[in-house]
Amino acid sequence: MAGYGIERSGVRSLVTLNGDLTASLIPDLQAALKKELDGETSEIVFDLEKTVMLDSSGIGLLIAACNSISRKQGKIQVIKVSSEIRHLLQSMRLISRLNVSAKEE
Amino acid sequence: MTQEEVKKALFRRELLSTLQEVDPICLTVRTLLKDHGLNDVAFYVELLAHEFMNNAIIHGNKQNTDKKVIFEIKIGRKWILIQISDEGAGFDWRHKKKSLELSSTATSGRGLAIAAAYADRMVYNRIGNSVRIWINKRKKGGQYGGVRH
Repeated sequence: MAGYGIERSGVRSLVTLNGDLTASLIPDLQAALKKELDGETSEIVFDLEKTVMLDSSGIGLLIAACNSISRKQGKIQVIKVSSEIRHLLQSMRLISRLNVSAKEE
Repeated sequence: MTQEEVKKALFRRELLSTLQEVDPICLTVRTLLKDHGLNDVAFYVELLAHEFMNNAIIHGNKQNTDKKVIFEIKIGRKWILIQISDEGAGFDWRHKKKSLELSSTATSGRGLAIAAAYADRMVYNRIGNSVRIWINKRKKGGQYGGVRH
């Protein structure tokens, strides 16, 4: 199974991670996201339900996506995160910027 | 590490300087920690392992696959100890900015901030191409926030 899948519905792109979001995945995912963000997408949702580990490279990718979508006055969400990932993003002060929601929400 | 210390290491691996080598090692660490009943700290130990191996590969060895990274983890009575070494020239860790304060739009630079948040203690060797990181076995997620050097 690939590390991620992308589904587009109108101006919304749903990026579903099939596992961890770490440095080795970034080049491929970054290229795929660029295609989405260069197109019609103005809303991007990252589904991290299956993600156990998020490292600083993964955080960097989420922020880069947020920066790009913000320039289009679009919006980002990071959904279904684990409690550990939520704590990590909270310590980096990124909860509101990335519109993070946890698995149980 | 001395020969005696190598014998006692719970898990030791040499890896090539490519980021694809990191994930399988960290998955092994994840399993080892859970097998030892350390579920509460497993995420943070694995995260630190990712960050410092990535640093060793990218900044230490410049992704030169002729150079190796060595990863070791030991579980003691109170502490988990990770040691990561590369074959690079090192860096001036004494003067590296340790601030957690980064712009919310910054896409890089959070590795050391993560280390500061989740490691209890970090010690670099003199030239900065080897680091030891201690994590308290009994800490839970909400108790993190600061590192002593």
